[in-house]
Amino acid sequence: MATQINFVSERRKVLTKLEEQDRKWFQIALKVVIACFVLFLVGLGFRLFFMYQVKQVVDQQQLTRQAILSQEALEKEYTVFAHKLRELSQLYGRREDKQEALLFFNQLFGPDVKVSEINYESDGDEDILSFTLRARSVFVLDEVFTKLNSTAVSDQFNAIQKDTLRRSDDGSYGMKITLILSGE
Amino acid sequence: MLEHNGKKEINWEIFIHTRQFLLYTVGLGLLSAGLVFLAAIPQFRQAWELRSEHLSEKPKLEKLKQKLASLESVRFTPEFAQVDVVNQALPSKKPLLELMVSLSNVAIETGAVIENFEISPGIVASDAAEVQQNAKKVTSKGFVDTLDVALTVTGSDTAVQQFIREVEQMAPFTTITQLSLTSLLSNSEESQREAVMATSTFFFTKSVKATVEAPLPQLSVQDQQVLANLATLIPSDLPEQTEVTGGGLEDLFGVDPLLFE
Repeated sequence: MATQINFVSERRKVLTKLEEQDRKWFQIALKVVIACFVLFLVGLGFRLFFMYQVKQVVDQQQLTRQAILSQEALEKEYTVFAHKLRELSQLYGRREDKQEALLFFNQLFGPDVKVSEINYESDGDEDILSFTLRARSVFVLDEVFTKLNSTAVSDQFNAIQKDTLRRSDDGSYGMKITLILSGE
Repeated sequence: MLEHNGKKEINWEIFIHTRQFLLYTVGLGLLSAGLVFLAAIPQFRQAWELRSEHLSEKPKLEKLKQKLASLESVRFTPEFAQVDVVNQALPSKKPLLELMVSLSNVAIETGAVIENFEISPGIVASDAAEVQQNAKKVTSKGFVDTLDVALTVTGSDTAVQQFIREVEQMAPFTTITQLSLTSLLSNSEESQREAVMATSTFFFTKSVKATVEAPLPQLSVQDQQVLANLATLIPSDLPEQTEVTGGGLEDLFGVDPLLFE
C-alpha cells in the first residue's frame, strides 16, 4: 500500500483558520450593515413623521389664513376703530389737562379774579395753555401773587410763566399766565 | 505569494478564492459606511430641519388661530358695538357739515347766538390736494388733522357758558383752543356776554396697515374709559349721503344759451 504524503497540510490548516476568522468578521460586518439599514429606516421614519407634521401645520395655517381673509372687512373696521380710540384717548388726556388747569385756577382765586383770554396750543411734544388773570384791585393782585408762588400751585404745575402785567382804565389788573402741560 | 525579481506579488486569483469572506466583509463595510453617510445621516439631518420648521411654524399657527378666534368674538364685544360713536367722534374725512350741524344744534339748545363764523375747510378732494395732504402728513405729528373754526358767540351769561361747555362735548371731537370773554352792555336783567373763540375739530388721517399674521390691536383700560366718555357726546345726527340727486339736469343759473348766427 502506497503511502500518501500531503505536502500542503500545513498550508491547508492555515487557510482553514483564516477562513474561519474571515467568516467571523463577515458575520460581524453583516450585523453592522443590518444595524446601519435599521438606522436609515429610523431616520426615514422620523423624516416622514415630521414631514407629515409640517404639512399638517402648513395646511391648517392656510385654512386659518383663508378664514381670516374672509373677515377682512371686519378686521379693517376693528383696526381703524382701535387706532381711532387710541388717538381719542390721547386727545381726551390733553383736553382733560387743559380743563383741569382752568378749573384749578378758577377755584384758586375766587370771584374777585377772572380767567379770560384763554389760549391753548399743542404741537404734540408739549401743550401750552395761556390765559389772563384779571384782578379787581391791586390788593387782590397781591393776593394773586401770593397764591401763584404758593406750594399748592408749584406742586401742581412745574413751569408757570407770569408776564404782561397791565392796568386797565377801570383800575383792574391783568396778568398773563403761561403753563406748559405735559405732552404725549 | 510569489517572489519575482526580489518583489512580492499577490496572486489575486488564489487570494479571491481563499479569502472570499474577507472580501465580502470589506464590501459590507463599504456598504455600511455608504448607508450611514449617504442615507442615514441625510435622513436624520432632514428630519431635524423639519422638526425645527415644525417648531417655528406651530406658534405661527397658534397666533393665526388666536387672531381668528379674536375676530370671531370681537363682533359681539360691547366695545366694538360703539364703533359708530367712535366714527362720529373721530371721522375719517373732514367733518365740515357735521361740525356746522353740531354747532348749530348746540347754539339752538343753549340759546346762544353765533354771530361770526369763519372756517377754512382747506383743500378740496382732488389729485393735487392728495399730494399736498401727503406732504403735510410727513411734517405733522400724530395721525389726526384739525379743522379750525373761529367764531363769536353772544348771549346771556348762562347761555354762553353752556355753549362753551357743550362745544367740548359734541361730536366730532372738538376742543377750544382760544377763548376770550367780554361783558356787553345790556338793558336786560341778566348780563350779556360775548365769547370770541377758536376751536379745533379733529379727524383721522392715518392709513392703517395690517398683515394677516399681525394680532388684532388690544384695547387698554384707558381706551375703555374713553369709550364711556364718548357715550356722553352729543351726536351731530347728520344723515349720511348715500346717493347723488340731480345730476346737472337743471339750469341753476337760468342763463339763456348764446346763439350765434
